[in-house]
Amino acid sequence: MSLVIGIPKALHYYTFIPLWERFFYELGLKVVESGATTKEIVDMGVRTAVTDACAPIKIFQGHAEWLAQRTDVVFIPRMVSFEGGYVFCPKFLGLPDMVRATIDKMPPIIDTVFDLRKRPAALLRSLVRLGRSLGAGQAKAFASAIRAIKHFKQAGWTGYLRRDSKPRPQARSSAQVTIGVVGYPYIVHDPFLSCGMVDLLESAGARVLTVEDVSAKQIRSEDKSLDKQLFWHYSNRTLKAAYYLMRHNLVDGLVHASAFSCGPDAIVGKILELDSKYEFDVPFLSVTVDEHSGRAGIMTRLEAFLDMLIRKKYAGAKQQLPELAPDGLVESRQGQRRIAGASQTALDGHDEFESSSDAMREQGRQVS
Amino acid sequence: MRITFPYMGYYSPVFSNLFRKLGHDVVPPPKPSKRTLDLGTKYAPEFACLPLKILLGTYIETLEMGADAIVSSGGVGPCRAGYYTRLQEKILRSLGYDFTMYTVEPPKGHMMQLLKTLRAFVRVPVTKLFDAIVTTCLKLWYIDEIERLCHKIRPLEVKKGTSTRLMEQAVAEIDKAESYGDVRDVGRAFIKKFNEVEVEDRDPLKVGIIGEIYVVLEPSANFEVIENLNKMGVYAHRSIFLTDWVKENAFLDALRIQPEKEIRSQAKPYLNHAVGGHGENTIGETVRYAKSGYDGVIQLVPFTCIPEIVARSILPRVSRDLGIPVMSLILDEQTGLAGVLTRLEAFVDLLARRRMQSGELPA
Repeated sequence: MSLVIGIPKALHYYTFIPLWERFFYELGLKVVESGATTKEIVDMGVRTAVTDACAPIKIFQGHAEWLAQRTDVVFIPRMVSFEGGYVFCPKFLGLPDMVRATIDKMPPIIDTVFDLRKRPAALLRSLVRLGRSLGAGQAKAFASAIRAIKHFKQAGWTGYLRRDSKPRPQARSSAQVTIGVVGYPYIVHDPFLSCGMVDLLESAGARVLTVEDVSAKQIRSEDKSLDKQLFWHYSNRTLKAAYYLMRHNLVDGLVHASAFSCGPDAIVGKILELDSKYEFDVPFLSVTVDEHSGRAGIMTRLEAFLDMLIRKKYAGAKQQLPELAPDGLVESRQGQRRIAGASQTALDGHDEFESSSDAMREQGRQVS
Repeated sequence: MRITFPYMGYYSPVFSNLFRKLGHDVVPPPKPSKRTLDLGTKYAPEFACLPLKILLGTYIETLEMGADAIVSSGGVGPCRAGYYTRLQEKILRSLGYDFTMYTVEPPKGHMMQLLKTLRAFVRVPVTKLFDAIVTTCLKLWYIDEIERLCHKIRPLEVKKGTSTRLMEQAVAEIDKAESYGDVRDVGRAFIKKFNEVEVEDRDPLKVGIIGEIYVVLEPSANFEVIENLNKMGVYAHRSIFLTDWVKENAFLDALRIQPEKEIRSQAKPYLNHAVGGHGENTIGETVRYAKSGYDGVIQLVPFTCIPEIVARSILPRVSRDLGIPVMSLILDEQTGLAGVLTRLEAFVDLLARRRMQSGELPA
């Protein structure tokens, strides 16, 4: 078999790629991925997608079109439900149809349905059927499916994340600010769409935790905090992971990365905004990205948020600071006190404060 | 308990009456106004759809008027509407309002919850309850029947404004009727009156109205699209009526009968899976309108509505394949009446021209 299968690197790719990749590999098929999101891909997607679709959908269409010119078939599974009886966003449910209707000259689309609501064995069945439709015998399809599922389990199941970026420091030091960046993997971990949010924060000295850093068990432990579960797979993961991070005091601040006009995020974002304030008292920042987002704008907002967190953290820990660090931090403490005292009068101490927060950030970097 | 509920077109007085009969005080929701939408927009998430904003605004207005219980519908997804009440409750509480939220979940899968909600409500004997429900259903049915007639007759009426006036009278009279028999008599009388309205003899342009249920049903959310089309002499067929919807989604679904199969099979070549809300219906109805000789279709989409965005991506292909013009009207708090009217006029012009080219003279 010399069929070349294209897999768009967008949306469910970020979670399910070990499963697909291994399965096609076991079947002996050649797989082509569409590669990282680029301006060119985004432009293609914007041209074909409807104007009020969210950016991830537009980007997906771009990836699909990029593959259309290079592969024999494009793999766009119809992800209906994977675990917990939660469904995916309606846009995922209609994805193959949307791509088929909007992109001309699309090669055949493989739109296997994955609906595990009724029985978990449906995953195996769907894969076997997919394998057979690609020309493999029953036995081979079955064996490949089993191996792929095993591989996916080892890789982390739905908590899987392909770490293209450098491994992140996991140990927590009390001097460092930890920020939870929550959002769907296809937004947070697409460096183009999220403007490299995670890297930006890390290079500024913060430690970042994402939804994928919270284990499935920990996410499940938050089931009871919602009296009616959300309907959507990724939304449930995001909201519950955020709850977990806040409830167990694992983060100093929370950033919600969301896409412009994202339907489920309208609900997730508002719940997070209200609960982070009234229930957990954790500083919260909502960042909305779309295909026009500029890195500079995102960077400014993240830096401001980080500065605020640093200020808050050290204001609360005045006693411990001198032991922690020598000159820089003592100086910054003075700067801070001045600001706190002069808050009603004027911004006299502003400049000093700027430099002192820089010093603090420097400090944070050293500690890390 | 002073109950309030979402405003929905001509149905609102009927619901007020039902709750009164069940032994409660009612704060009837006011017709959504600029202020309603402003309030909703201010406190709702930015990317929430228009219905959520209108409902939230309505709740704030009625809570200010003294309501202390809200009744609204739930759902099982994947459309966001099923989660409205939870989110709205959270938002309203953060604003400091004190109230009870009753969510009426669909019977399928939530039977116990539904019964529990109903038990909290009903403060009258079962016989009276039964009577109230049957009468209400009949009222809704007659209102739907008469509105259907109104849409048909209004574009053709000789004396402009007759049907609108009749429609308003009908709703007021039906609302006043107490017993089952009264409702039936009033309903029949008005159907007769409608049939006696003097009409022009011509074949009007026919447009199908599809889209998200709330903006299709509530005229103030869609800039009275149907009335405006009627005024231009165009017959507009609304694809959704509340009684049909409740029948299909609440009762038959619980009995595992799937009446929408036909619509699904129509949509299948283009959209092969349910996407929540009315996404699949939007495609299926468009195919049906094209096959039954309609001149065009107008899709009403609240901005960011997920199922309708899926449908909207696919509609151009349906339109091309079947040769039926489709216009999508995206509605949100920024939409203005003048813009909508201009687009409607242009669309109607286009339809008239198409008909002219095909040989028939339009009216």
